[in-house]
This record gives sequence, structure tokens and C-alpha cells, in this order.
Amino acid sequence: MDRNRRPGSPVNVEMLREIMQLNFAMIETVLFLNTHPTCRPVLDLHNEFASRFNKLVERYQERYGPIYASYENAEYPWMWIEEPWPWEIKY
Amino acid sequence: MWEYKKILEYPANVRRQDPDYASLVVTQFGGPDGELAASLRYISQMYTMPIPEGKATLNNIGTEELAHFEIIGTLVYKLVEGIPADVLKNTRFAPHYAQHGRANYPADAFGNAWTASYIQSHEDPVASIQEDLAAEQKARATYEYLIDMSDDPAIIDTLSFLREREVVHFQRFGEVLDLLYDYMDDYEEWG
Amino acid sequence: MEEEKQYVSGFEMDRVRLAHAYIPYQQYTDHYTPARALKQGTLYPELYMPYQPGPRGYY
Repeated sequence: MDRNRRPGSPVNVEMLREIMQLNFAMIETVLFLNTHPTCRPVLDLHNEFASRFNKLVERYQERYGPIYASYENAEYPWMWIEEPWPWEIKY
Repeated sequence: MWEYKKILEYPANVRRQDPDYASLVVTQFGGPDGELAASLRYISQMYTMPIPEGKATLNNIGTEELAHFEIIGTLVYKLVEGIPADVLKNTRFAPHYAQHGRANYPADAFGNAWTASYIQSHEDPVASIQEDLAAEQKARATYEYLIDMSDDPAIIDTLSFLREREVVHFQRFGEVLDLLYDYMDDYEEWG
Repeated sequence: MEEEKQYVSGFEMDRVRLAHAYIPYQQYTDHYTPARALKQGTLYPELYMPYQPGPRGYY
């Protein structure tokens, strides 16, 4: 087993920030829709944010490694363990 | 079940390290009105909530609170990371260092360990939701005290975000309370 | 100062009962951009109530 640790994977803080923005916008649409399930404008908004979030996360994972452990294009070797973790990044 | 996203909900920074402040802000990690208590309160209550809007609200807010637990953990971690023991021993963080080193531990600003006694979970949904409304207000007030005691703009920025989330969560629980009144009126009429 | 408070129109006073707590239901009007929403802690302008240090009782 190769125990030589690879250097930490690169992060793109600007892209991460954009992911965090869309992630948060979705947190807000989800909470609103839970108590307003028939509000069409916010449902449309949610779908728009979700679509942008998913595309951006896909692009990020291709370039910088997984945001979800379930990411299916995982390269060899296993990238999930690569640092930095979210609490180790200076934003 | 839960799946981790390898991102923070909010990009939490500190401008400079401050072990004294770490020992205060830790109350939102493991104190009576902290994020761990909030998360476990809501995801304990959700099972018997009688209306679908209530189940979803408790599930999603309980999930978000766990992300807040991670944000506060990040602040404490960054505030003390790598500071040598001979510096820490002269700060308010010294008792924490004696018991945990620089590892995060869910305790309050006095050092009391987290306890489930901080939270309540009732089958009576109105009793539970009123507890949740109170919890959001107590957390909001705590964030204000913590903001009052900080002069680090990066910390104030993150705590202001978390404080505003308490306002939004209060609104959502208020809406669930309203729906519960409707639900119980229907129940009384049609039983 | 008063205009800054978020008053809600259409609160149904005739359905309120004694010994019950009520929070007015939010009605969707507008939203911030995701960037601004994250910065301010909410997507909804009518829920943005930032802390103003000073005498307590209003936020």
C-alpha cells in the first residue's frame, strides 16, 4: 500500500463561495416551501437554484475532488480524504 | 439518513486568534441555547409531529442546525489552532486545554458538558413548537451577547449570519404553529 | 425608524383566540440574489432584521 500522502487537493475558494451561495438559497426555498407547499413562484425559484447548484457542484468535483462521497467519477486514488476539510479553509 | 457535503454553510473566518473568545463562543457549540441542542431537539421531535409541514420543518431546520454546529466548531478551532500551551495557560481557555487540549468539546462558556436536559420533546405538538420558538429567541439573544463582546469583524460577520437564521427559523416555526391550530380545529370538528 | 419595522398586512384578527400565540404567515414578495442572501442570512427581504446594538427589545 502506498502510504505516501499526496499533497492536499487544490481548492477554488471563489467557486466554493458560489456553491455556498446557491446551497444557502436552496436551504431558504426548502424551508419556505415546507410551510407554503403551493407557492408556485418559490417552487420555480427552488428549481432554478437546484439546477444551478447541481451543475456547479458537478464542475467543481471534476476539477477539485468530491463534495459528496457519492461522487461517481471518483479518480484513483480515493480523493474524499484529501485536505483541506471545510473548517481548514481560509475563506 | 444524513449525507455530508464537504462545504460549510457559511464561510467562517477569524481575523486573529483569540483563546479567550474561543472559551465564550463555545457555548453555541455545546451550551444550553447552542446549535447541538437545537439540532437534537428538532430531530428528536420530528417523529410524532402530526402534520407534514411540521415534520419537514423540524427535519430541515434540525439538519441546518447541525451545519451551524460545524460553523461554531470551525470558529473555535480557528481561534486556538496551533497556539502553544504556555500561551493558552494564561487565558480563559486554560481549563478547556487541561481537559481536551485544542479539540472541540460540546460544553458551555462555564465548561459544563452538554446535556440532553437542555432540550425537551413532547408528543403534544403545540408544546414542542412553543419550545422551539423559545429556543430560537434564546439563541438569537445569545448571538447578540457574543457579538457585543467581539471586536473581530470576521467573527461578527459569521455570528450575524447565525443570528439571522434564528429569526428565519422562528418565522417557520410560527407558521407551523398556525397550521397546527388549523389541524386541531379540523380534528375537533371531524374527530 | 418605524418604517424599518416589518409590519404585515392582512393579519386575521377575527380568528385569534385568547391564550394562543400567533406569528403572521409570510407572504412571498421578492428575493435577494444568492450572493446577497448568504451575506445577510436570509433569501427574503421581509425577514431581514439585522441586530442593532443598543437598548434591547427591538431588532
